Amino acid sequence: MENQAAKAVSDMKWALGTRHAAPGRGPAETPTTAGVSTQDPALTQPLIEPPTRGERGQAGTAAPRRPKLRTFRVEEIPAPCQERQIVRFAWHQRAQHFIMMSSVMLLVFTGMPQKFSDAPWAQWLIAFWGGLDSARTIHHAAGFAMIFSAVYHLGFIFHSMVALRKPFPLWMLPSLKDFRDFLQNTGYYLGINKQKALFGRFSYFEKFDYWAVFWGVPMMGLTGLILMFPLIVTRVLPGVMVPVASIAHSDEALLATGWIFVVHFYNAHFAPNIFPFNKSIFTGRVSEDRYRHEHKLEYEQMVADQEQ
Amino acid sequence: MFGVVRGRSKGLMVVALVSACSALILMGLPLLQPEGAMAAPAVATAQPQGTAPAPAAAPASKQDQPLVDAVAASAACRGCHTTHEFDAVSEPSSRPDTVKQLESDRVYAHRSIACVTCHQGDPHKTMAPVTKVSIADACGQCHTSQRQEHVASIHGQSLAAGGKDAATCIDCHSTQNTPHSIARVLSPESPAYRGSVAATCAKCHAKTEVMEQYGVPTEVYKTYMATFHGKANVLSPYEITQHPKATCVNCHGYHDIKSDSDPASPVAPANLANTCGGCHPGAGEQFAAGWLGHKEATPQQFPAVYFAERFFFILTSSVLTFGFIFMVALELGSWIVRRNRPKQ
Repeated sequence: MENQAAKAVSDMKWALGTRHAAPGRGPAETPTTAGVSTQDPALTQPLIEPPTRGERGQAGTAAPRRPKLRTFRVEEIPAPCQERQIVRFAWHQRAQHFIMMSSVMLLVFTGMPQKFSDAPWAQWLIAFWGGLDSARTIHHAAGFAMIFSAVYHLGFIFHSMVALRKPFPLWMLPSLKDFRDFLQNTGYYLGINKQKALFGRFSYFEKFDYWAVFWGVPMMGLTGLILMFPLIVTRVLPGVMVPVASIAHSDEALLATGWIFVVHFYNAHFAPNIFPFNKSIFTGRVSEDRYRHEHKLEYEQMVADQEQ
Repeated sequence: MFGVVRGRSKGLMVVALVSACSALILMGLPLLQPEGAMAAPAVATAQPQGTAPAPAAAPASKQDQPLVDAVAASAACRGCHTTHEFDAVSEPSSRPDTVKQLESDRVYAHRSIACVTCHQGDPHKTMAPVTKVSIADACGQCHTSQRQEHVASIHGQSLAAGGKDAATCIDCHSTQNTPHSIARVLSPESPAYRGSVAATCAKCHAKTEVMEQYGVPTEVYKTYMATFHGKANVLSPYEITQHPKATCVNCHGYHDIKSDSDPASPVAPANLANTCGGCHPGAGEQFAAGWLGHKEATPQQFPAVYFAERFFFILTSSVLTFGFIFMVALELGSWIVRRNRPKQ
């Protein structure tokens, strides 16, 4: 039944579109949904193919048909979106994410061939960067960019608290509610609960991503610096720190890459209600409708604050 | 005639005339040389025409008159040693394919050197039986300093003591383990080429049954390939990089490889920091201590490394599994199930 209904709707769209696109040629009908009745033969008759130019207005009758080379599907262009947008990320936050994102991508694609040097694609990828020396130079530069974005982030928080007198971002800290939300959603996915959890400004999986970076950047940055300057480091620290840093850097890199490419990409872009792409971290804006669904508690708070 | 040819064609004509004249002169030059030089190719082409020549006949006639010209002599050798009738009576190394290959393939370093340079005296007797020591001695007639280092090395000492497994010249320098197929170290085909030398050492040093007899550890190749030195060599074997990438020989030496218990060895504990400093200027004791000495990390030997390995393995696998199941697979699975469920 659903499929047939969908077919009828798509046919209706088509019928509306043609009349709308070529006014004056077909029967004098206004292209409004109110004006279309189900008695219209164009809608009740199953349309196997769209009618040709000569048959417009007499669809369904057994008129002789010319062979067609191409058919065009004409659709009504929807009115520009008038929806209200909510600014979710400030300019600085978007900049932090952009630096982090681009540096991590460079780090992954220059670092992974060094980790999996035996893999058949590793030599190709190293050659892509212009050789091992070049790949390492890019890796080092991107590493410093990543450290910079972390420093930028901490500086941004410090600035917003001290200079702008904003409160400490308590909503970013993990709480008991996050754990309850996690159990609630897991129960929902398993069919135990009827309802999904409602989120505030940040959901538990967004916080997990954030704190993974908070743990990952110091780990990767420090071990990376040890590997980059072993001569200086071993003047102060015991020599065994170098192989330890090498293991930590390599394994933690795999963890971060796997998390970003599977979990973070899924939650940010590939989840069924978001697919194919969520551009809010780049534009900073989220449509009001989506905000109401994804961050219901915060949205309600915002509405209540505005009404006051 | 010259009136017709103008401009560029005239220049071409001059070039053609000059080259024709020089070609004539060059062709005439060999006539001025001693007779042997011209006679030799005639022998080489004439002999294979007949039935299988008696192997003793050719050398016997040559033995009386000393072989003045090395090139002529090589041509005479080829007269027999390039025919396949020779297979039945010859050693594998003197069989046609080996000899032909030596002169045809540009990889081989000794292709322009006469046979008698190595096969001296009666070439059919002196080299047999060929041993690892006799090969090294033959090479050492020209490559004297390398042979001296080899004699003093752990490989040379083992060979002199009657060992059968230690490396001689051809084990590292020959592509097909014959003295005929020696390749230059700088050509990528050579087993001693920078990108291949680790695998060449591993031909013996990764073999447990051989190394156990001498008490040499066998995980050397595996552990080397796990370090950045090994990875760098795999990733850019033909690339000339800012820093040459360390292979086995950069730490252990080339022809003069010593046991690491020998105090003269560059990898002896007392010399290790100095050896690292060859590439890493300013390397100290602690820097050298960061090198695990081809040993696997165990709780007894390198507890810090061992527990770091375990910790990060468990962390990475558990967090990734958790994330995949609870943040991706469950949601996606329930979405697919609910989507296909008929609506009530």
